[in-house]
Amino acid sequence: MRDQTRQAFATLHSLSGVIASVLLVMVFWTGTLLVFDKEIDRWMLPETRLPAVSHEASVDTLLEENRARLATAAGYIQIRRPTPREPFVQFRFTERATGATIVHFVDPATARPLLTTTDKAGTSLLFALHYQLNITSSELGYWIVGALAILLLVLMISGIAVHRKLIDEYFVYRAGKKARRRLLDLHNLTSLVALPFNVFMPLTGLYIVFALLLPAPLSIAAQGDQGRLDREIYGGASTVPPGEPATGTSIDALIDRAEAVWRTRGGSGRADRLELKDLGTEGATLVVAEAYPADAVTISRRAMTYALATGQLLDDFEATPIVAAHGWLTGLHFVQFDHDLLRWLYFLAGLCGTAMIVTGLLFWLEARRRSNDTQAATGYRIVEATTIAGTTGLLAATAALLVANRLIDYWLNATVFVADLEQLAFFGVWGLALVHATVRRGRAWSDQMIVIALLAITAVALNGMTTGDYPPVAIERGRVAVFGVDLVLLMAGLAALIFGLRLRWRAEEPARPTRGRQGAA
Amino acid sequence: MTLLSAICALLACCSLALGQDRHRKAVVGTNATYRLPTARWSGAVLLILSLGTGVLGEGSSFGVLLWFLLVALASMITAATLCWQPQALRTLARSLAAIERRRSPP
Repeated sequence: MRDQTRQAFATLHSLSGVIASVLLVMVFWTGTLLVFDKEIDRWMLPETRLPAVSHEASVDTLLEENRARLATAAGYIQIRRPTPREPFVQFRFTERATGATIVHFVDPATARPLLTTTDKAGTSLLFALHYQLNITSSELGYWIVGALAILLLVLMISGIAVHRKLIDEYFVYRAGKKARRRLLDLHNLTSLVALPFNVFMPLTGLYIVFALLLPAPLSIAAQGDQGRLDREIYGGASTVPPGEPATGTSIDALIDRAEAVWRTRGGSGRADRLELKDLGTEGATLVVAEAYPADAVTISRRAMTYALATGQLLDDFEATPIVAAHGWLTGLHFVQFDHDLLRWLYFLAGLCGTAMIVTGLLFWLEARRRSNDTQAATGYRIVEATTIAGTTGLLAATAALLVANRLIDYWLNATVFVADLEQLAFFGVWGLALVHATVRRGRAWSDQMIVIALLAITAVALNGMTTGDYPPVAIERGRVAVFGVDLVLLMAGLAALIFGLRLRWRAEEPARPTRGRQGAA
Repeated sequence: MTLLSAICALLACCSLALGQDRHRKAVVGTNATYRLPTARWSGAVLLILSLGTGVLGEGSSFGVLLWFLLVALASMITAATLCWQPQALRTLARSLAAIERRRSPP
């Protein structure tokens, strides 16, 4: 490639990187955490830490036992059946009087309620940050995240174009070189080894919000009938024929019927999601769906729709190849399948992607650090402060979210404002980290790393104090998800402490000439 | 099968790395006992084996996804090994030399 073209790509890479990286770190970091969304939810909502379900609970019984609680629903109730990662039943609906989304967690063994929350509980803040920067009042957040995904793709392409020795340096990390070289090596390494992941994630993310960002193609395909298009993609019935209501239509029997048919077609054939629509009308329907199968990447591949009154089968939806491809691309991003090894590999690849963006920013700063003029420049100081706040500050804010979750639960013992206070803690710590980074500049790295360590260890201790699930106890009680979150917190805390103290000691050491130790590679 | 796929992916990345002059020098020094194309071919065959065993063990949907991510992890481990413990790859280098001797005896 000609040097002039390479230079143009380098400028594009550097410019788009500096503009987008801090937000990209947040999107990547929250996405990485959300690979373990259900496990973090178990940690944040201790009432839902149930043992694995040994047999299928009767939906008819669950509905009957919770009739009074569900009476406030505005015509639509979604029922999520227990899975190995979520061993409880969830009833989700919009409350008729307030318009708020309500979630009832129910023990499938006893049909008793465990917890009632809104849709802001648990990891919902991380979700909102991941796909809409927590801008919930408009579609602006989706647009910004969409633009960030495009910028990340631009960064990947321009980064490959800039790299002179793509193959030669694929396995190269020179630990003995100077900081600038090490950062560039690490940036290249984390970009290249996880290249398919780093490209596929923004691409599938864009694909998921495509209908929102570019609605015209789907509107044309729908030809003014959006309902028909939805039915082609997700299944469902357009009209419910009148019929004599059958006495005692059993939902369990309808689920069994659907699952028996699915099993003959292959796969696990388990209905994990039910939807009761148009409740209180003659046209009420029940959708029995295999929405997030445990044994496949493809989601939303099967659904059967029944008339609730008569039990008549209205629609038997089986994804066509193109709809299955849509489900595969979406499922690839959502990571809801039950595969522990893949989940951990996703997590590591996510960390790799986050490291790629952070090392890019650090390289940009390191390349300009030596010049006093640059250091004093406003642009440099802004990038420095936002990089520190966007990296260690974000990690401290995440740990603060968990600490706040346990503290609020312990002190207030109420679920009403918990999510709001948790958000306050998250954004408060993040804002403080930005102010701190602006004031302390380079020294803020070590300070904030020590804060991360303290918060992470505090979160583990508070979890033990408020629930009794200290790590050894959690593993004894079979609460692997809780133990896993605690373990990751302790490891992250320890790593942050070591790095923080090392940075501090290095800063306190008198300046000495750099030894030219050569790396092995 | 999944474990086999992971081992193949790691060996493939190590072989591909040994197929590069700078890494070969770091591992076996200047007295190269095998030629670079031998290591590259071995790496390519092991990559295909890793994909094959992954798909056989996990099905095509999970298998392909698992392969991409296992190769990423294996690449990272290879880079770390080459940086801090390059001598750990000497056994593999000797195996590559043995393969070469078997294919084209002196």
